[in-house]
Amino acid sequence: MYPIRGNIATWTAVLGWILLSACSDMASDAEWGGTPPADDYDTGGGDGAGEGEGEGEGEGEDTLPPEQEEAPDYLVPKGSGRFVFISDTPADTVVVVDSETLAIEQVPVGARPTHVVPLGDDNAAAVISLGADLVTLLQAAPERRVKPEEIEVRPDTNALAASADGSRLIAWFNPSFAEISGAPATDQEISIIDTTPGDTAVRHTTVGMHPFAVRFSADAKRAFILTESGINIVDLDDPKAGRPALLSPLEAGSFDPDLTDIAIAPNGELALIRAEALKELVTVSLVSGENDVRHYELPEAPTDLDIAPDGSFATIVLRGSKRLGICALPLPEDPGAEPCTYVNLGDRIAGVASLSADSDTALLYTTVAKDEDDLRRLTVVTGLKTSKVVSSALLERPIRSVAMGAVADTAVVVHDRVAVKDAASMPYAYTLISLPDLGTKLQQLPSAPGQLLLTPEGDFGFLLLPQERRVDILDLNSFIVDGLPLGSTPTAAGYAASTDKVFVAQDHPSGRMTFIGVHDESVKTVTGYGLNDDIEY
Amino acid sequence: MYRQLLPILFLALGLAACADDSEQYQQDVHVVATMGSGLVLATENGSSLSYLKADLERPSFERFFEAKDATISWVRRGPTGPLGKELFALLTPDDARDPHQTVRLVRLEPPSKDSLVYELALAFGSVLFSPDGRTAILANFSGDEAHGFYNPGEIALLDLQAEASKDNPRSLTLDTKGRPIYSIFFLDPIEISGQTRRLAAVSLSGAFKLIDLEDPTAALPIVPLSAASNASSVAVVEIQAQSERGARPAMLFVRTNDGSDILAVSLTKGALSDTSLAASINQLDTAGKPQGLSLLVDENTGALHVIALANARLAVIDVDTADRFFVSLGESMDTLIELPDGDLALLGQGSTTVRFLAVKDVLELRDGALTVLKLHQAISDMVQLDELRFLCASNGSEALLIDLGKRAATRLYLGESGYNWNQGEVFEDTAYLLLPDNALIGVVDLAASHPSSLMLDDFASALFLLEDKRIGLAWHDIDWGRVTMFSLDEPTRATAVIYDGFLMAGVLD
Repeated sequence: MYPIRGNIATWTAVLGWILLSACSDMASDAEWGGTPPADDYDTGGGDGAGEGEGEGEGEGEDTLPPEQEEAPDYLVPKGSGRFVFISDTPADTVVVVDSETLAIEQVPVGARPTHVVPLGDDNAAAVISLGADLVTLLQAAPERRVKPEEIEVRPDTNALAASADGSRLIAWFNPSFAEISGAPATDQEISIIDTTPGDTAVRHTTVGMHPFAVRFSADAKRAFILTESGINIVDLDDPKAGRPALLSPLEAGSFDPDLTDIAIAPNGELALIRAEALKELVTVSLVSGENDVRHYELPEAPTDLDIAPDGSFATIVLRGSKRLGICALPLPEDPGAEPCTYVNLGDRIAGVASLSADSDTALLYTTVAKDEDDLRRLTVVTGLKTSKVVSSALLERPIRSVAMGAVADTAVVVHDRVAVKDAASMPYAYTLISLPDLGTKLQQLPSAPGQLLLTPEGDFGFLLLPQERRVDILDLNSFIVDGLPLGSTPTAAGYAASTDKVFVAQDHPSGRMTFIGVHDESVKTVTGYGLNDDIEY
Repeated sequence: MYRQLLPILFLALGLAACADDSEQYQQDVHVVATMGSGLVLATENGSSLSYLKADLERPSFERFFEAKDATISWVRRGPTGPLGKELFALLTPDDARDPHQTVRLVRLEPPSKDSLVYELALAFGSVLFSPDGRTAILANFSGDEAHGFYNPGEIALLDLQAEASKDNPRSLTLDTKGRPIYSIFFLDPIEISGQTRRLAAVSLSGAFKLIDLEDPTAALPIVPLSAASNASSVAVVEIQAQSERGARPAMLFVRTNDGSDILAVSLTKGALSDTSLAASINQLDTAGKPQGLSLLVDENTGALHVIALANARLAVIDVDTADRFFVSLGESMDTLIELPDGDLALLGQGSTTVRFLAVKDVLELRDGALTVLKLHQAISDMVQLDELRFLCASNGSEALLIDLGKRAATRLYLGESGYNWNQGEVFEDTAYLLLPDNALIGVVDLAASHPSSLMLDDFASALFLLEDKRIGLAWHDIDWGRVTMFSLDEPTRATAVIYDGFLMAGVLD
């Protein structure tokens, strides 16, 4: 193991950067992230397509490199209920902050705690300690000390994944965190934890080669470990279950997490896979446990694959032929049938789609194109299940990432860095866009933005600006933006649902966090986690 | 021959018979307080107090208090409020083994011989009074001489407006977690969660504990001052209270003797009881050891800011976010004074300027909110005359009068070189300087910048101004007692009166 130095904020920033680099496909409710500017790519050619809707037309060779999608999750402080949990790796503790009273408790956990995940929204979280092969369950309550519960996990596990309700937890080896944890003797062992209070249990098993993601079914009865060998299906309810079944929709060993999208339907019954250069949509049933794999031929290799939040359809983006495919779920029984209908985007090139929470709107854009106009264009398709209306806006600058709040009437587009043309220009910017009318407001920045957080109600956004040492508060109704200067460099943000507060962790040797009331505009900062924990009564 | 010896014999017998009445003559006598129109004197480890009444025609000296079977351990002047003419003396029994003798606190109003007595459980080393004169707290501070085993957290709370009883003073044992008490700070009344609270902060080693003067059993927090390894040596130097404002909680701002932070401590209603309080800390980094602090409310946003003096800068810090900016002072300063108009004056040992900060403009103008008063010399040996006036020595023949109220500095030419003073007092517009190496008092008319000398017969060790009587009094360290009194309306040798030998009173009785 490597000797580790540094304070809480340094650890948070390092681990966050690592996860960003991995480009994993973990989507969370209200968080989208900022990344360093995209690398330059050689752009290939692309023919235009005709106007109007079309089906099954395969036009345009797409020779451009893969799209760059933002990785939305971070190793950041996590909120559960009214509490915020922060891993303090050097101190071997987790700092628990009550967002209501700002009371702080430092809870000793195993050596080198790193990854923290919330367990539902019930003031609970779990942390994995790399130096102790332990997971600690933390249940917080107002005016009471946290009672930690330790559970031994397999060595070499370095990350946690939790079901949405927090009842199940899986410790596994996430390659994104290898720089911190070190190379594993094996990355194929996982620990499955039942976090039921008073009745916690753990069992261990092995999965396919090089796992790279963990998903859960909505009912938390099954977990899906995505590996380069295939998809392992873990029965979470059966404590005596043996090795989880492995489904191999592609040739074993051919999964490349960087070039493959695997989307799992919310009901946990189906997985859809696309791969670079593969002109197919591959599905595998997750119900029977048998390798029920189907290959649906596509006119071209899609550049993006998503499943709608309501699970009723999937979308694929055909960049070369400038089309959006809408594939009703379940797909046709016959793999020879056309799996999708297509929306013609006209001359609009798009390689990435982002779907609204109500599954009715898609925002499409590309991060790799030869023409700068293509990089600046945001295409909107509304009425995905009905009218499928296409419109677009040519923004001021190339698009780096797009985020849409819970209410699909506003989007926030973060732009790539541009050269400063004149005294009125700044190198960085983001655009607020109203939907579907596409009214825009450009907000320039002198330095690179960090994490963007949109509140669950979709009425506010919080954008961290580390070099400016401030956070921009975006009113997504009026588009008014107010900057809130901070005492220290912001490193990460999250949302505490019970108290309706956004917490912003900052780089400070003693630990600093600012709590911003989303709707009451209150601002309170607490500095000195150790000092606050030492307050006695 | 024997007849010639008889007078001498009788004289010797008389002298030998003197014991208690010559106490002042035989032991160290010191002034413990000015009180009304005179001085209160006590002897080291004595059992009596005397009053020297200043009067240019008929001064007098009289013993007004005598402790029976006890020693006066200390004497303290009472609070400066309505009870400003009271003295408090701690009496410890001569025979600690006698169960009928107890530690007592005596409350006196010299020169009256009447007294009020409070029984104490412990011989406390210190007493402090709340600024409103309602409460006294007795405690053993770290550094006080104490004997035997005792709980360092034990204090007594005395309601000065109530009768003495078995519950007044009230003994309390603070749970200080073993930390000694350094001092006690009385806070201004503070609004917390809709209630006005009278709190005191008990400064402990590495922390402070809050106590409620109205409800001492209320569960109030012990707030740590530092997480560093030397935390036990950290103590509170200054603490200011700010009542809650709308949704913003009540706060305390704490400056310590160590580190570069001002601690902003939020106080909210606690969960333990109706009177309990919860605290949370925000460390506000001033980027230097803070020497003073002031508070500013942004009129536009309502945000509270701390202005802290740290070396050659002012740190202006938003309490809500800890965001800060600095205002450069150009040179190191160590004194921050709040002026009556709300502005700040900044100066310090060695500084060649005095800077004035327009507090209401600092958020907008930053450096532009400073104005500079240049001095012709660096400040050294600064003596504070009153709230806003300072006198600084120069090369001995020259002094610098800094008047912060007028924002002006005046050079005073004092004549021959080599004079230095170690005490300065002001009455109306005249300064009186005690020069311990010279048998004179320097008198400076501050309005006219005109110095003169009031010659003394002997060196003086202390100077007192009795404003009620408009008399100045120089104390000479002479065994039989000598003071020189002079009129403050006409401070010249012509009006001076020497009162001599008062400590001999009763020796030849």
